[in-house]
Amino acid sequence: MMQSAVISTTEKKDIVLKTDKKERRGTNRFPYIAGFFAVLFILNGLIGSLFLTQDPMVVSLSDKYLPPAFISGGSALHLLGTDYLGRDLLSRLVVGGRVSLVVSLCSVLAGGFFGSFLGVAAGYFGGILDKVIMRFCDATMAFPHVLIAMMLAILMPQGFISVVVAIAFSVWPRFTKLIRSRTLTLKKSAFVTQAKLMGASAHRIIYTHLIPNELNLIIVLLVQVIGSSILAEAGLSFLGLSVQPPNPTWGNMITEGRDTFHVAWWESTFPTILVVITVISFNLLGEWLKRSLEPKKNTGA
Amino acid sequence: MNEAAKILELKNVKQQYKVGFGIGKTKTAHCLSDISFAIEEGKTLGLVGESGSGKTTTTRVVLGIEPPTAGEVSYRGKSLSTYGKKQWKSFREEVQAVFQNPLDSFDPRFCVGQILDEPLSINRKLKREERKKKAAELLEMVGLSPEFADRYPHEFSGGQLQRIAIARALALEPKLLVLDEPVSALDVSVRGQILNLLHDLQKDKKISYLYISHDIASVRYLCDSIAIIYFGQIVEYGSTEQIFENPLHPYTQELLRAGVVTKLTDEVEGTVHEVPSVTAPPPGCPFADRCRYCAESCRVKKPVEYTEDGKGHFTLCRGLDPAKWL
Amino acid sequence: MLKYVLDKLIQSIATLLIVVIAIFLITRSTGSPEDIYIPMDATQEQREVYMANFGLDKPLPLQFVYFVKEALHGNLGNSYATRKPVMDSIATRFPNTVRLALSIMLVTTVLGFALGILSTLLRKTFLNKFFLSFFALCHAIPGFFVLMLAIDIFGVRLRVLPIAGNSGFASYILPSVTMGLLFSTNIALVLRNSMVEILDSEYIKLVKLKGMKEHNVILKHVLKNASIPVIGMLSMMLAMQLTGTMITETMFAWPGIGLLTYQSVMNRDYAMVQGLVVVMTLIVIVVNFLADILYAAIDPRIRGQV
Repeated sequence: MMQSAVISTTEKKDIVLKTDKKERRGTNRFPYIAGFFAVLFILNGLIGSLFLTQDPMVVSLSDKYLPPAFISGGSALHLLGTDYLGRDLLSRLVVGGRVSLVVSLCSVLAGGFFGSFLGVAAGYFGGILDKVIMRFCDATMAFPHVLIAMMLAILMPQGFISVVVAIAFSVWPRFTKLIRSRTLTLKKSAFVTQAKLMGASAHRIIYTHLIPNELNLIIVLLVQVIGSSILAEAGLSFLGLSVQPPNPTWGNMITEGRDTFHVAWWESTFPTILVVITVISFNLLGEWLKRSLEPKKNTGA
Repeated sequence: MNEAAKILELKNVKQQYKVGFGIGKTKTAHCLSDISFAIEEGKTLGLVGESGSGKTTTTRVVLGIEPPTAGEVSYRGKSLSTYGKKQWKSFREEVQAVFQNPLDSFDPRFCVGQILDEPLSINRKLKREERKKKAAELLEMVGLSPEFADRYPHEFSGGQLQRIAIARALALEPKLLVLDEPVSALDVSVRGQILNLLHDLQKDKKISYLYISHDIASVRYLCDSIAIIYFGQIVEYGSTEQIFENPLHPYTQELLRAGVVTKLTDEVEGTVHEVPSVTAPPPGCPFADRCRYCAESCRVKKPVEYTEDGKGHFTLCRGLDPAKWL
Repeated sequence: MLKYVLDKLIQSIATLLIVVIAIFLITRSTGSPEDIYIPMDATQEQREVYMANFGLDKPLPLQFVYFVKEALHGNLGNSYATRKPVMDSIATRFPNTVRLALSIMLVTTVLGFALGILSTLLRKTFLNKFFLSFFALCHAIPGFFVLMLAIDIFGVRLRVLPIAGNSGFASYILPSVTMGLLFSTNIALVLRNSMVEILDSEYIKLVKLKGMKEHNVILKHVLKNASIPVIGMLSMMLAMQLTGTMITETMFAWPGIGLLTYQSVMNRDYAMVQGLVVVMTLIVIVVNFLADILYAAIDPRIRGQV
């Protein structure tokens, strides 16, 4: 009897230690590689075009379908090969990366700003305004987003604005729902009541108390959404609804390589690799940010 | 109490909330049913009851956060329901509150200086320097160093936070302070300091207090008169001496016996009785299940009239005969 | 419960109304069919006749009322391009989309659960990283590239599978397996997270029961609870699939409503687009509605929410 009691306590201790270690291992480590690529992506967008060795727009039919430099037949002039019009792939990737950056940033910021604004309004004022906004959220989520992109692309054939609006359109309800629920929680807290007791106007409460306490949530969602917006842009490019060729985007580069994928795989593959790396990086960053915001579960004061 | 000296008066205040959703399923929660009391200028009224009795709802009605379903809340003789924009503005300056949980009362992003600055910048036309000076004065008034202005709420202890809360409440020189269990969340050792502070401030500035608590001892120290609330009704009301020397209502007697409001055990049966549900109030006296003196008639018919014993000492129990209850 | 159902019904109708109004206004504002479907040399009189035929000569609100009235009878107008009823085209193509959607969902569900369970069981082994990396990869890769790759390998190089149109069972394989695999990782990840959360909280209990053999049995019990959030995802995916992923259908020249939508927009056939949007929105709303009811039936807490 004594024997088994002793054994069971040591077993218990082992278990407790094991879970301790697990919790420690579970703590939030910053994803450095992801951060590196994210920064690279942004830097490329800002100054990448300063380092181009080739002109991304120059058509040179005699050079078309050159494979990357490390494969036989390739040329050192075109490190990653050329596309169906003989344009240098590497430089197009750099410029295309900038377009992807700008498109995703703009659309995410637009959608985030618009969505958060509606979310605070719905959460704070409640009532009919809240119900109406939620119905619009539902309607937006029910609407086939590609369709909106199509309609917009026809309204403004140029491409950039329509794709930004299209992506912003598919993104804003997420912000509204998140911010609305946070606003509802904050509204009940004692310090908001205190502010009202001092005669603070709704305007003051929203701008000085609610929004600053929601900003971190917004930023995390922004980062999480950038990844999917890059993918969305790629998908819309495939349907011809994004920035139009000859301007390169990673999306339309993948599409342009579709017909000759069989022989010139590099045209589509390199942009895809870049998309994948960038999206994963931002997703990982978003997850890290989200975990940093979660309340710490360890022993407190 | 003459009419002129009443700073706050509640008359037959009822508060009901709709709970549940939609047709046929909406229930009404009767949180307050017929609350009446008054506070004299410069004095303290203690509101004592257990959790769920309607204390917090009363504070919301008194502070004008919610309008009552029925009844009247009058500040300085004028009913809140008649208030226009101007009246609300002065009400919001003259009536302030301190709540139970110190950390929740502050925006975590505001430093102490900003916290104290907020009421001043909303309501006073002072320059920044003047506001800073006033904030420092306020800190000193509650016994804190003006250097604390740069620190953030999470850096302070509970007692210090409540002092800051009091300082903020005093910023606009209020006439009425609603104190909703201000010391319940603090260490027992700290409570006395805060209570002393409140006591001194009242003497000094002639502020009226509505002091809500479930701790009898602090009520005795701070309050001039007491109202005992149970299940949304005032079951006993009188001056502090009256209540302590001669508690009339069975609930009050239990409270004084226990010293603090907790779930009372029925000594006869040894079980703990719950407060009846607010959505399904019983037909008789709501205290019937827990009352040691409960008679059959008590369960059937609710007591509605207040019996007065002596001057200004009221109770809501039908079986009032001092001789019987000893 | 009834109250909840009624509430959701009213919400759904409100949503549908908003969408129909929106698409109505959009199609009217992005240029009229004049530009494409009326011959360039038509006289003013002839134009008016054309417009009357398209039903575009009446004031806007009247058009809307007329449209709704007809729609309730199943008539969604006539296509500008073919002059045939929109409903006919949709009715012909919709079953194809449904079949494709169902087959994709089948693969998604089966693979999703399989991968989810597997990754949960193996989460303490070295394989954990591989699973998580695989999931992350599938979340980051553009779907159409994977399709391109699959078409190239299986359709072009190896020539084992058909890559265009719906010509029988074999033509389902490529799109279903590819897209199914991609989507299954979404399910798998959600399932895994859900199960891990439950498992970890019951970890101590498990150990006390001292039976790692019971792992499988407990896994089944955990699976039931963990599947609840997955249902939501699946319904959302189903709704997306049914409204015809235009990308998949375009890739495979699959005669479904997704491809039809793409073509109609490109052709400025707005009567068709309008009808399609109404149908698609209706599908999404119905699927969501059913999913909400299912959720509420399973979890009584949800019934209290509005």
